Amino acid sequence: MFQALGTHGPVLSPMTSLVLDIGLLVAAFWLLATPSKKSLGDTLLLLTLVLAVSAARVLMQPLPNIQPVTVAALIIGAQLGARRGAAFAILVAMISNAIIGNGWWTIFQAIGWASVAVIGSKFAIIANGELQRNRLFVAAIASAFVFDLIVSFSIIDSSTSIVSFLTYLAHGIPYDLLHALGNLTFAVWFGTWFADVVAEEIVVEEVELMSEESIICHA
Amino acid sequence: MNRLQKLLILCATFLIINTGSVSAISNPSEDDQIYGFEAQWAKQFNGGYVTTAPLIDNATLFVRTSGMWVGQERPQVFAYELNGKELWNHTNQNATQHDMSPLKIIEAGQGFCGNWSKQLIIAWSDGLIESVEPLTGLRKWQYQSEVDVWGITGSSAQDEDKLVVTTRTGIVSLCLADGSLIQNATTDLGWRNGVTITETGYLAGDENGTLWHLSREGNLTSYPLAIGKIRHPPLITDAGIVIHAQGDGQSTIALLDENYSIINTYSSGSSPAMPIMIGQYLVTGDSSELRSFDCSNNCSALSSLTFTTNGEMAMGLDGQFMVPLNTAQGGWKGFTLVENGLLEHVRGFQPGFSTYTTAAPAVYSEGDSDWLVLANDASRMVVYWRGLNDTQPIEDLDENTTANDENNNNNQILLVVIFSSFCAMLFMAGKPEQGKKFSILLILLVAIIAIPTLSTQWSNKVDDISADIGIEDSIDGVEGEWNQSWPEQWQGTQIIIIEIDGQKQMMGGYSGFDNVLQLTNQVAIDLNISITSQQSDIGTYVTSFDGHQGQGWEFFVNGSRGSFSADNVAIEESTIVHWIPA
Repeated sequence: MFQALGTHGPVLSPMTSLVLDIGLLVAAFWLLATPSKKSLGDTLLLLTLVLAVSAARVLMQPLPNIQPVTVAALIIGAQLGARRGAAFAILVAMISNAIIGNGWWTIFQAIGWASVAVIGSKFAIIANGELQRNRLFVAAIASAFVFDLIVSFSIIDSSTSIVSFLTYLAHGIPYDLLHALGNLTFAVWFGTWFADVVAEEIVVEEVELMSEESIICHA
Repeated sequence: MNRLQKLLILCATFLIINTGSVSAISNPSEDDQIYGFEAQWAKQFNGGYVTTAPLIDNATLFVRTSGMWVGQERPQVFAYELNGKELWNHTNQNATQHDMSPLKIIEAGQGFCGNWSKQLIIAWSDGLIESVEPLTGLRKWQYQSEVDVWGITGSSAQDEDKLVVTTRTGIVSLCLADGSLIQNATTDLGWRNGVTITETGYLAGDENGTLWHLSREGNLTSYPLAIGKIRHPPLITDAGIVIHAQGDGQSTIALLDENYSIINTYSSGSSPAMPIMIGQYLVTGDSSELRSFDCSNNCSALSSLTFTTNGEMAMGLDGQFMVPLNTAQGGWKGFTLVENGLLEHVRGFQPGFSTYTTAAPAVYSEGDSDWLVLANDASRMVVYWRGLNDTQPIEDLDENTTANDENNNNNQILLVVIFSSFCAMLFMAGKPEQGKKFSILLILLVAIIAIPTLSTQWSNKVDDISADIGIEDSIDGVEGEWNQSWPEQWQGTQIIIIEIDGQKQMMGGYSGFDNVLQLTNQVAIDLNISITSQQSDIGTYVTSFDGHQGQGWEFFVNGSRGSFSADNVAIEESTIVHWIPA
């Protein structure tokens, strides 16, 4: 199943890689298949966000541990809810890794960003339709460490002791801090705008949905 | 947000990204220190890929770009001095398909069809064959071959006074003196099907899996092999003719006798690379494996390593051959054939950028200097140099193609000063919110610039602290310190212990090895221990010693567990490496 063991976990065989991708895809669609009705526009919006943020991640790959996905997952989790935020996170991890490099770590990155989306949905970053900037900043910084910790679990195998894992984490602290700083910068510069983009589109869709329902009722 | 702010954001983003990428290429950082080579200059071509090896001749570097061109951009051929100064460039406005025909230098000579001076042969995907003067790019002659969707994609060869080229629809031979047509034979359609010169004529394959022989007298004979598409020049070996043909989802390595009949075949992975001969040994590559065969007799299979390569392979320096890794990680890996032709991975060449890679490197040695040129599918080329003395060979660098340390540092300082001033002005102008926004951007910028240095120092500190407070991840029986029972002459040298089945095999007295894998490979040869290793995106892992795979293998350096792959852990002159089963 696994071809070898490496520092970032097992090196996957093509079949395992395929199974992993299918598993992630199923998880994403399951998360999207919520009981409430979703319009086509709603789905397209999410798809657009997935593609745009994936592209941003690929473009920013030369910058060490600058992760635009983290803040995006946080805000989408806050605006669209945990399920769609997690689905967004999984899809972005899959699509961007298809270009950057797929492997065992993809599943941990997907879980990491999905966790960030859940944090976004629970941390009251949006209250009364308003973005709580200070809460966003705190969450953006904290999310960096949460995500990096989850992704670090990918190195664990039968030979990894607690001491060696902690040493590994200690080595990565400068990059964790850089991730946090990058998140803060994204949140400061684009947080409000991005939250508005997601919110505006939803409002329009909801209006359209309400209009359709209204027409049906009149008929 | 006003227009000035937007403009500054744009500039900052550009500068941050630019600073990162330039420093990766031009600063001799750790990433760029490719085993004694130092990055000298880099060139990002405007579009397309570099899918054929650059060529260095007489201290002049030639490189071509390739692609499927749909806009205004078109493929180009460039010539540079080794210091980065561009001599000329040549664009073919009519070529819109992949230009994969390797550039070829023809030395001056004379023959039945006339005299010719030194020339560079450029064959294009629009069917044009050009002969140009290497130092000026001025055209000497040209020949237009037939096109069927595309033209020439294979390699050409010299047959005395003739240039032999596999065109899209056949084989032509041209007079090197003036490009006049001597022979023109029509075959089935080909792609990347270079030509091989034999004693009796010319050999080339096609997309139908047919091998064609064109005699110098003009007799064309076909040999349908039915083993897949033939996309490389057939190789002549002592055992016969070798072809690595591309099938559906797999490939076939076939050995043919002098009558072009298949003697034996060997199935391998998909999308084969262009095979090469290294002495008596054949090396093939594909999407699954790199393989070696002994072709002194019957091309018997010798060894294989898991690898993904689909382009060119070529001899590098230090007796290695270099193979591009065609994955997202990209880069090149250096291999040698150890005793009995077994493949052995020596080291990786990852020049600070990661992308799919199919072009072989160019190497060139002159006096005390060695040059290594690496170019990838992102159309980025980096020129590396190493010398026996410490004097940098490049003093007069082209400003447009080179960014040295000093300029880079100055740019970074200038950028920080401009941003700091701007932030200060915003605060002074009573715009604290804007000031904070730009300040955070400034801090991020400084952090990105400083992170390589900071993280290295931090890691050293972590290691020191770990050692000081004794939280080494110690394992009973791991040798980390000098053992009095060892030979005295091993003191201060590189020592290695390999523990197989509870038996310790050790060697010492080594020096000059840069990393754990290099030392391990050498010791394995000396102890006659076979090694298998596994390539991954993040390095090379030893998977077995003498066939003992177990749950994997781990190593300790001076008693500390190796945190990275064996080729990524540097060792010093006085080092003890201990391999044990995981």
